[in-house]
Amino acid sequence: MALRIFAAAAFAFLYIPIITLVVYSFSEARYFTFPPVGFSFKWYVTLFEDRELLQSVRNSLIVTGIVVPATLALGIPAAFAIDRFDFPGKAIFERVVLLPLMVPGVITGLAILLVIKGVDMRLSLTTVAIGHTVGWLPIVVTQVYARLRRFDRRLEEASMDLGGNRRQTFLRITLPGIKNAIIGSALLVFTLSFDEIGMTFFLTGTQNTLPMFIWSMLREGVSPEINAVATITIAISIVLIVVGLRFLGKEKD
Amino acid sequence: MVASVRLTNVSKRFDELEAVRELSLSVEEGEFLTLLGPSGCGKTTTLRIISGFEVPDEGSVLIDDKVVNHVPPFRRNVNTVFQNYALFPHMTVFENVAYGLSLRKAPRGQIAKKVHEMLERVGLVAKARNMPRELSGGEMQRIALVRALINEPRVLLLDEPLGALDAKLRYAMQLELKHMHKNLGITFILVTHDQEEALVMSDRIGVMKSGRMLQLDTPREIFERPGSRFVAEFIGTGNLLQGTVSARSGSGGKIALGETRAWEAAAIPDEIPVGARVAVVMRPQKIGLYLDHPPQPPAGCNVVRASLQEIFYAGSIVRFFVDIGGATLLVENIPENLPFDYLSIRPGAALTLHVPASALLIYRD
Amino acid sequence: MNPVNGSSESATTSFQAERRRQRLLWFLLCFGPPFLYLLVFMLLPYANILLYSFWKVENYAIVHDLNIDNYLKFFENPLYTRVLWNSLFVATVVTTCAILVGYPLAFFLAFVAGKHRRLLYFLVIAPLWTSFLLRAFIWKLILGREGMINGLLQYVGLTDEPISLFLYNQFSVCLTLTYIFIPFVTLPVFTALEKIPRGYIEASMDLGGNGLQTFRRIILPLSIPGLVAGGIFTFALSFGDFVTPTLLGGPSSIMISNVVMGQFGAAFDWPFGSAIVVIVIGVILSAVILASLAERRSSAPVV
Repeated sequence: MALRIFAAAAFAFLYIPIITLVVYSFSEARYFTFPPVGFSFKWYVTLFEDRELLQSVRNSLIVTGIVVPATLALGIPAAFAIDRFDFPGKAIFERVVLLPLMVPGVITGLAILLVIKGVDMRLSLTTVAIGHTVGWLPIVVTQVYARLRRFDRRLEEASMDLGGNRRQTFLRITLPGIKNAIIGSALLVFTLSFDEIGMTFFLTGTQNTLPMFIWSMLREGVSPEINAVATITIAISIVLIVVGLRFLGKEKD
Repeated sequence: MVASVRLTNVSKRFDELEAVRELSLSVEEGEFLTLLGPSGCGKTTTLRIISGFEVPDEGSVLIDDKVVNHVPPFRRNVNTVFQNYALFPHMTVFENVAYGLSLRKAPRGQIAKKVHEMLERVGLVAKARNMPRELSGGEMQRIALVRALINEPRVLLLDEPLGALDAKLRYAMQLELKHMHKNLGITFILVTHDQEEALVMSDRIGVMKSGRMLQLDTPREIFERPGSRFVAEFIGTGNLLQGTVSARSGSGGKIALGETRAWEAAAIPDEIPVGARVAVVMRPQKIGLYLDHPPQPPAGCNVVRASLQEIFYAGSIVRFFVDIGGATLLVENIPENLPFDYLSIRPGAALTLHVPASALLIYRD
Repeated sequence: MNPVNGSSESATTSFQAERRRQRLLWFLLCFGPPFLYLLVFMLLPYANILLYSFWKVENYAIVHDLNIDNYLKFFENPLYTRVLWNSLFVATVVTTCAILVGYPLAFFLAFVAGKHRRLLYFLVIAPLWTSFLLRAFIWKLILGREGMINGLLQYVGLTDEPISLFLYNQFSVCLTLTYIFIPFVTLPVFTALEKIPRGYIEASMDLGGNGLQTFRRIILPLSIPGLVAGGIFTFALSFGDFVTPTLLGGPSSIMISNVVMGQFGAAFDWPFGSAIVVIVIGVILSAVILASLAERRSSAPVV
């Protein structure tokens, strides 16, 4: 019983702030009043008239549009290499690949920045994407590797036994078997990359991503527009989680 | 006679482990052959060499008189029913069965017709749209079987196919497999550790141990005349006693067993001299058991006095553990065949055993 | 030996050589690109930072002679060491608090939540998928002078003036980071707890263990890997965070990443910044190693 009360309190702690944010995004007042006054969409309207904001969303989508395919293209083969081959330094590689998840994004971003400056490359959305790919590659590698480890190799043998060559067996048996892990980690990388600020902070040139735009808004001071941005972000996240969990959750069956 | 599968001097080693050693085997077309042995005896490796998942280090593998050592599994006209079935979890029953044909890009109509035929054969047409996880053990087993058969293989390999089923279902499936084999007329090679399964289903049984083939013969020969002590102990239940050859006469002779007088044995291998220590195996079903007034023993039958130690009723049979002076023998009989009421006797009761001389299997110790 | 055997054996040798060659090719194809990528964009940058940290700046130019002046400068200046200690303090407090809330929450989800557990699990991890920035920002709304708490206090008449005690201090930073990182602990712990076969727990109870003993001797040891994973991430990420101290911290709650950013931004002392980066990574790696040592010890049989 005590645990139930505790859990209820914990959920309240996690959710009251989010609910507050959503409620106030529909408030009319410029400042926070208690209780909220009026109901309006005006902060949403302001948002959609904000060209800079829309551009930053577009930029973020460009970055994720590179990062998601890149992490998949590099991460899935890496997971296969770890699962299917023995090679010297495998155990070390498995650990080192996780490093960018632990090291603060700012620092990874900085480290990459120094190298990029060294070769006189111009900062752009591409450099942001290069950084994000380093940062989120471990997600794809670990998720796909975890799935491969549980994958029943005899299904591949059954396919070959029935006349499937290696390509057919990969496409029709192995790939469907790890499909959910791939989609799930792609969604996770998408969300994380869309939200990333640490690495982006140093790796972006003149173009702002959405988190960078929000960051500059936040530093300017409290504005109800931010609540509207937040509410939209939360709504989109919920859709993504529902889809993402469906894929990653299926993994457990 | 055409050999459907022939292995000559095949060896396979995994690092330190010699899984198969100089194995030679010739399976005739249409034969039902079983590889039998304890786990780790190399039977599954042998099967994987035939299916193409392992390449032998030495020796050659021939299917239909062609050397196939390096032919990958997907180019062999051999199909396998896998242990635990290995049904593709993301495909329906229909798609599982159709898989082999769809790989060969067969026309859709033809696939549908053939799959239907196959499902009809095992009575599972109604389950075509189900997923494998929705099937019972017996149903999965049947689907795995027809999935392997749809390619019309020359040889069907079965890797412990009934291991996951409960006893009742196992008997039913043994029968079904046997019928399937008769109807199809193709070669079946089964791997199992279950000796009863092997005895029931096979034309011939190969008993394996530590990568070697110990004996390859018909079930009856394997059971009645096991060629080695290992085979004698592994097949059926057996009484194992230690003794000494005390006399030889012709192919038979006398064996001294513990404190009892010398026993008559009908067949003693030629190479065992008088005075040699031997292992004696006796099938519990071959021993006659009498309470009082035993009948006149037939010629060449050992008559032994014994006292009852314990008695177990096991439904279709009754098991007696009897003391013959220094050693315990297991005797099994069908309740209806007993010449006395087994319920009335108590431990300590005096019994008479009739052991035919032919029931003593003698091996060098 | 008959000729069939002889020829197939030599064929076997060349076949196996061919197969080995093919496997090597596949391996290089799979492993080569990700390895090269990480080599160029991860290992090289980290190594480069390490190298930078031993250089120094003189007259606005980087001088390439190896020295440890940057490290001496850092550890000799109480301004910097105080920031380091402050970051360690915040990370420790946040990790402890996140575990204190996150672990029982995971326990609740795994063993008590019953039929709603999927929904509740979803609710716990949902925030992980929403903006980090915004989750930090929310607390500015709540704790600020014009925020919800002050609004509420004035509304019910407890105060007439807004109170500015809540925001821009150590407390607001720790509270916000704890809020952010609770799901980081709950998620892996829940996964670990869920994997414990219910039979173990029943066996322990059956052998006479009461609830507390069963928890201490069966459930807790088996959930340590999840706890360590969650704890490590919380520690590392809160230690290196710059968003929260910037938005919600006061002048004294500056953290180490803020200093790093300052060195690469305004101060333009890359070598000194690099040295701090190396120190940050060093702290995180030490924490990882310590935690995995502790994990190994705790998973050894407890008598």
